[in-house]
Amino acid sequence: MLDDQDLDGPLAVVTGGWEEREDEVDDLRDHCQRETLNLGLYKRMEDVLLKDRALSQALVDRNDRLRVAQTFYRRRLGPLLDSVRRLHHLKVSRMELLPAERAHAILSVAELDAHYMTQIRGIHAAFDELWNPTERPAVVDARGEIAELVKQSSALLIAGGHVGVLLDQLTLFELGTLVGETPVVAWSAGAMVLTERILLFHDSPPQGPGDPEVYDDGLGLAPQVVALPHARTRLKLDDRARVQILSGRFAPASCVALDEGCGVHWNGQAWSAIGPARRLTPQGKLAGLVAP
Amino acid sequence: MKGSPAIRELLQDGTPTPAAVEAFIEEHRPFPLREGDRATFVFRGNADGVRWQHWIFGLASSQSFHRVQGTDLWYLTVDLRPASRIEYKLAIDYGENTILIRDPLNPLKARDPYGANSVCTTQGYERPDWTFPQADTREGRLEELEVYSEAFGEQRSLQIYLPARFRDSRRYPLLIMHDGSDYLRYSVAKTVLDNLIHRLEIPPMIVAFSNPGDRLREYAADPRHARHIVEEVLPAVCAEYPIEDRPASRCIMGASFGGVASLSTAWRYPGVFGNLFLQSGSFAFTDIGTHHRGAAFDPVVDFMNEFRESPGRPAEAIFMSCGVYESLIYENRSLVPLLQKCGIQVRFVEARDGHNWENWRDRFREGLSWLFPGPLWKVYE
Repeated sequence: MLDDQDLDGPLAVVTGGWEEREDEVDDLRDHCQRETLNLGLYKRMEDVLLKDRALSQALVDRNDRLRVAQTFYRRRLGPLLDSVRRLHHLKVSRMELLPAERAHAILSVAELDAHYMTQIRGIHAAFDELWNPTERPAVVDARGEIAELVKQSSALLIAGGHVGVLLDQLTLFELGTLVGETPVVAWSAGAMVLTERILLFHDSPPQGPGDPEVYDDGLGLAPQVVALPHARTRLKLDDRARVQILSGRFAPASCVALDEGCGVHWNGQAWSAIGPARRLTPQGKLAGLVAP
Repeated sequence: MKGSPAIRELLQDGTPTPAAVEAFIEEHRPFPLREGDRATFVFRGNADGVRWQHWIFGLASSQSFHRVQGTDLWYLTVDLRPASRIEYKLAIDYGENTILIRDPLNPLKARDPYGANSVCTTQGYERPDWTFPQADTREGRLEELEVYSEAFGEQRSLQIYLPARFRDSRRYPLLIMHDGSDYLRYSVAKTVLDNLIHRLEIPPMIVAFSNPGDRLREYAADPRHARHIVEEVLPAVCAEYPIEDRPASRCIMGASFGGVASLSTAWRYPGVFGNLFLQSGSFAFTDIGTHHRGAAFDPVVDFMNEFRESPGRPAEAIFMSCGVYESLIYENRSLVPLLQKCGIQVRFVEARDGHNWENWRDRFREGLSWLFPGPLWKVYE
């Protein structure tokens, strides 16, 4: 992948999603066979929060508000998704009446997702207005150093890990802006944060029903797709109803299953597949990637 | 009880020849032969009697096989519930002598501190994949920690599990497990922890595997044991390893008498453990009169009676499991509303299994992931 891009110069890497293992990049460096510049976002964020206690406390409060909003969302999401699944498994004498009901039920879920996003955007906006976090001195200093490293790099790599931690770092240090025209290669949680909307998902968790839930806005660098990394292990891709519901819920965006050996490439105008990348279809199946 | 179609077919033309018996065995092995919810156990050999010896509470503990006249073939067909797992032996009578053996026609066995039993499973039971070593799972490690016990006046040895990617700079939840060596050996606790942590279903945690001296005495709600765990083991582990310092990050667990030891320790030291994991606890009590479980249970019954009178709040969350084929199922069920009434968050799970280490192994995922939810939902790497 990197070889195809004709890149010259070191690679900036973000491994902040690995949290305290952020520095353990030996394997990644060996894999890339190039010089790497670790942006150290996890460590930098820890430092910022140590230096700026007021911001740190404000973030705790913001996260608490986000958690409460999430609790409300989950309470409403569970029954809604349950009803959608029931409709998908229902056998009735007049089956021709079902598609409209199913479509409307999915729409209700999508509306709830949208409502939740409005709520959390409001929480973020209120926080940003009050605290202007990107202009706090400790953040400005760190961002300057990061910008310098990005400038020296031929590409930015964003690894996976904890998607919430990663998103907080990338947002606080405005990586979405700093990256400019630099090519970005991201995987796992890294791929999720590049999209417009981050979806948390696992069809077989040890507790709970495994209802896929919207988490937050991503950086929006990868438009019109919902990234589903490790789809083969995390999703029941042979469960037609589940695939159908997921696909319908986020239409017109494409839900893309990203497993080992495949990916998707955005050239600024259109998507193309890398390897056997597949998307979830409204028919409940997997199909080759088509530009959304 | 209905018969086995396969046995009926074998016997339809009268006494089968030795060759027909042999062919029947070869065709259907391994045994027991499962036909729907029926299991047919088979034994070949000359004996005066053959019996199915199991530990299913509610069924006669020993059921006789039928001998096919004129042959050395014995069989017994029983109706079993789906998704069951049953440990058993065969009791072979020779005159006045009886020997207990594992089923020679069944390769499936379960080990325990007393040896091993044969295992019969019915449709719907499958050994969970997370109980097997997985090639891609990062492994944690075990190390020894010696603790001198004032309570018992002797040195005690703990095995400490450190998760894969353990770092001194991070703080971890702590789980203290009674009968640690047995959990490691018979419930493959290390493999399970490695897998569940690797799958992000539980957070990386430190586990102290503790072992008793005089088990039946110490684990029977002995105050010295509670003192040993809380005033000796806990400080020693916390001094040596980076443990999160809050009750919600501490859990104590055990099975059978180990369940009693866990509950009584938490009860004597409320506020120390936020979580309890109690498996097939030997929670015998009496409402009136005496119990009939033997002298070892005397202190247990005294404790449970006292506990039921004044339960207090030994923990904030308690996960309990018990096999429905155990006599202890009634005591465990009756404990649930009592704990709930105290405002404790309780999850109680029943399994179609008995009082054994593989039942306890199979409940690890549900219990640990409920008490300590892992980062699965937010980590993608």
